[in-house]
Amino acid sequence: MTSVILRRVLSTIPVMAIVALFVFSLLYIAPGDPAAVIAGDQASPEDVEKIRQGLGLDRPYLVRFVEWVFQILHGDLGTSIFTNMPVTTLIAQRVEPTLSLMLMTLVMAVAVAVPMGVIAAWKADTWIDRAAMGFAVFGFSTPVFVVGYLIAYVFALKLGWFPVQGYQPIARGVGPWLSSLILPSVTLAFVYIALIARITRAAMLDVLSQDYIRTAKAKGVGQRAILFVHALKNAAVPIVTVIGIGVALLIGGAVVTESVFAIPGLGRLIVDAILRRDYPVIQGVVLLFSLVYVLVNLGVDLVYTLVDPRIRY
Amino acid sequence: MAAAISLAPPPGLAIAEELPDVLPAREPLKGFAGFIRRRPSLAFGAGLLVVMLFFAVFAPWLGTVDPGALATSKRLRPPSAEAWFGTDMLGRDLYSRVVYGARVSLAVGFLVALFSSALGLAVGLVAGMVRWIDGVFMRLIDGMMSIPPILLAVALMALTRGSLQNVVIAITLAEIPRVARLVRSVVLSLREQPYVDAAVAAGTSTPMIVIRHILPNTLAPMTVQATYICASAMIVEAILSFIGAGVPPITPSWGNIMAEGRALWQVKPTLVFFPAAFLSLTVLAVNLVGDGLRDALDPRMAKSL
Amino acid sequence: MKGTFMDRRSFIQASVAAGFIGATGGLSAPAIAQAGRKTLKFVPQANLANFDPIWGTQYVVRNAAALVWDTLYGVDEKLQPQRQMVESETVSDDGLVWTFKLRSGLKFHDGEAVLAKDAVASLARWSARDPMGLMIKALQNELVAVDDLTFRWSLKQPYPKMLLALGKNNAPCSFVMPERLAQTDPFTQIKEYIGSGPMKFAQKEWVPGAIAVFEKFEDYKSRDEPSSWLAGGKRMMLDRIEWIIMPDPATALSALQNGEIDWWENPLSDLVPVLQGASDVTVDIADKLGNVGAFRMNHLYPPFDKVEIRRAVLTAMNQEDYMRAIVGSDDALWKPMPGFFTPGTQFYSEQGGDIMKMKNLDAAKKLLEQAGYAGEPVTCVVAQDQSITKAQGDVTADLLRRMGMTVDFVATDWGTVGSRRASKKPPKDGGWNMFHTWHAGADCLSPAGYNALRANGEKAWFGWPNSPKTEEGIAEWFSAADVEAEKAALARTNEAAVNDVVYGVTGFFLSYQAWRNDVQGVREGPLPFFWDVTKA
Repeated sequence: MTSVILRRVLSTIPVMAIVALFVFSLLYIAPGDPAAVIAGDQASPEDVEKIRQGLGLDRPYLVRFVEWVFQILHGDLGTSIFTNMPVTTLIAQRVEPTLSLMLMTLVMAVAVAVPMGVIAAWKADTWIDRAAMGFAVFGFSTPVFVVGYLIAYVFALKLGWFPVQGYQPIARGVGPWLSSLILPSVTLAFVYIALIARITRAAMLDVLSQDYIRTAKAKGVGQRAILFVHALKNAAVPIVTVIGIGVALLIGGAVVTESVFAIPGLGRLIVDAILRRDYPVIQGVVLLFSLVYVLVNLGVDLVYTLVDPRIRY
Repeated sequence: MAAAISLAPPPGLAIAEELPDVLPAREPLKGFAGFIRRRPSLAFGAGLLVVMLFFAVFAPWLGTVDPGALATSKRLRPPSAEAWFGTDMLGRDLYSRVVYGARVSLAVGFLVALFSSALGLAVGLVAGMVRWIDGVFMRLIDGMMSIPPILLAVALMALTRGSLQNVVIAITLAEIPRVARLVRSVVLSLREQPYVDAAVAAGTSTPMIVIRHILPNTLAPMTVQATYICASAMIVEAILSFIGAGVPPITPSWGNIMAEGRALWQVKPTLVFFPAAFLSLTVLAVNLVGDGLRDALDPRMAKSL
Repeated sequence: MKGTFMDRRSFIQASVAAGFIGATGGLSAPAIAQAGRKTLKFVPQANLANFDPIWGTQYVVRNAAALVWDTLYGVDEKLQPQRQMVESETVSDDGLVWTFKLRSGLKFHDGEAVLAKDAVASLARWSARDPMGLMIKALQNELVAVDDLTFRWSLKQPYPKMLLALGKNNAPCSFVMPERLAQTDPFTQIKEYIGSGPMKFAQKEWVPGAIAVFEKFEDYKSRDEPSSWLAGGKRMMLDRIEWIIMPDPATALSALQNGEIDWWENPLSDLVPVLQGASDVTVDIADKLGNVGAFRMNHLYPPFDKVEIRRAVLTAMNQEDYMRAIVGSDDALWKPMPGFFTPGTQFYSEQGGDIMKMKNLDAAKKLLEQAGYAGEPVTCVVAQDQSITKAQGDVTADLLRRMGMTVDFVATDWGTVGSRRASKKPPKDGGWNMFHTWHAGADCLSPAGYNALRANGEKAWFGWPNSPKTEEGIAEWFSAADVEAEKAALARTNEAAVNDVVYGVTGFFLSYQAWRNDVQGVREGPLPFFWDVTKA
């Protein structure tokens, strides 16, 4: 058992190494010159060249890659070209909003999607099932920013229930924090709900056709107990897996949602950085998001290695 | 190793859940009416898709004008007999732009589905058949799949100038690992089948085994996967345009039209509404077709999803 | 390997924890202290991504810097430089030796007194970057502190526009920093943001791309005169100013309607009718000096190396199309502009500008033919993330296409345009033929802040126009004795610049600003002035 866990943990190392190499190379060959942006619209070409040298952008690939790897191993992601601030600081400043948004979305999506999937499976081939799955397909088919604008227009501007934009740190109180998160989370949850509900339904249908469920039914166990205790427990593995995998969706969606709702999170940080060719920030954030994704899925795997000894790698 | 990533459905917007591990069986079709009755959502999706394809192919003959023609004196007009959907901020005809936009979105969807399937198939077959390459490829693919696909596509677009070709390449690269994983897992399960063992024992060459036994069996799951990739690619194209990293803005794509119109959402909702509706319907159509194909090609899954 | 992995993981955990602690520690204190204090929430035109006003010269940096740093002189709304940090100055009869005396009792935000050595170091850094500063530096004998409050700038030749150079509002302004910061290399960013202006920069609360915060500096010693632009007493009625960055105009519009922000620097003009209809919001012109739209052609490579082809574009273009694309349907917001200097100001001239009024596509086609245009592609690089450049690019693409030119439209972002336009390589090797931008009208008043008009070939601004006659006119202006001579010099400059097509002017346009009615004292000007602004 220990060696299984150890092997699974160690398998993340080459994955992250490849991500690191990929991310660095990708942005190394990127065109675009941060020096010119920094110098501003009124700067002369000579100024731009001097700034470029000052930033060390004129040195060769290997030198910069080796330096970069050494730095990250020491917890230093470099310095943002534009703000002159350490990338770790920029990331730390923005972790709270993004983490809050993602956790809130996760809770909301699971709370809605799992019951939805369970009920759809239970009522398979009825109008309830079709409505739920219709909603799920719709969730996949609508771009997240369209959902965002619609929701903001109705619930913030017309009804005035929530703020239109912005993020309130939890330190200012749980009330304002929740209120600032509701609309962006609902927006972001759309796709995620669609994904989890479909998997839940599929997994449940699979389990419900098994012999032991028929046995339980025959023994007179209540419908609700069968669904939410016996069946759901056995359908948990694919559901938990897809929740882990879906974190990639959340990360992608956060990039857009944070722009629509003016939330100062990591998603906006990376869009801004890409538009401004702020290499160290792009590298740091992509690396961080990938690491989070890998760790979440590592966690998911380890949880069921521990819970369900049948699973082996 | 990394089983959760390998066995589970792909991250990102593609939504194929599980793979058939047996030979698919086709059901005989009993007439058009029977088909519609038996598979209403597939019929609806296919019908909708045909309509969108019609728009795309016959765009110049559907009452459209030059979608790029400026007329700044006629900007932001409401829908009328002259301009069916109204005009945009540069006085261009919104109806024409949306109709021509079908070409871009469908092209992105189909091309990405085609290329990522072809390349993913090649990578997956090699990885599945050749043990020593498998390790290397799978590490690479695990690494690439750890970067959320939209981030990967945006980062790739930051490398290069916005063009239809580059958007297709960027989204294709982000999707290949998923197809490759799918194909590889099909190959690995097929290799355990007795008839493949028998072929090996009979001295059939590896390329022959691939062509005779492996390839045909990957086609069904790949077709299903390809439709989901097609749907996903159209959404990603819109998001790239929204962020400002998509096809050139003088190209009327639905993503571009929405990105241009979004600032005026409160004063001219039609600028976002029309392209959004077309995009959503098209993606919906492709998803429904995907669901329908999966049901038809995989009777075991058909009952559950 | 395992150790490595743990390092990374523990680093992530640490930074996640730091995020929470940092955010909690950093934000709760001001949140508590906020009760009863006046906070203004302002949405600026762009993100404050860096904050060294000498090193980076974007308008947004200059505007924020004007809160934190003070200047020796400041222009008032009549564009005259007035004393600001300086108490008095003398200039020798031959115009070669300037002696300045600072006001006493001025303090930096770290509590240190403002001394002559600080001014000297700041001017030295500024004059290495500013176009006028560079001219003075070229004439400089020495720049030294005489005593604590007095410093002297002695020159080899007179420089009559000295006070304008020290007080102009065009970036980079000659902001005064403490000597230790001003000694930073002019091509390296400063790391601390300490000035002697009316507001302190809350560096700990700064989240680039999201928010920048300014706190009132209690020890600021304002002048007694009423405030006027950068001149006079900068009295702060607000305790705290939050600059909130909003990438999406639709979101900013909703936030202003909902009262979540107080003041929006640059609402899209198409959204203005919505704001005008809101009873609790005021909308007004931001700056009567407005903006000048521009496209620049690369004078080094075909097809625009030929003046006839550049003229053909001017002949065909219709400024109305550009202006409507930028400002929308309100015709009161724009003017055609057959010249290079800001309309409505003293040096505005239409001399030689008839070609810019022609709007004649056929004549343009004929010019192209005569010049032997053979279908060389025009690589037009257009930033999509700036509404002004995007709108102009769309119009240009249509225009060139109708003229029968081959357009290679490169859609990209402002950052890439910024880098690509600096390339002198041929267009097919990463260079360019054309890009779009705009200049604040306040920068186009005279050659003082007007880099874009310079036409000294390789040394000129991007596009590298070479027009000796334009340069002659500019030189005449710098040495002109009186206003009439200045006007004559610039009329000639204008004519030469049109003839050689230094760059393409797409028109003159105004933009709006909007604020909640409980905010009072918002004025017109080339930058937002926060002094004397109150909030109920």
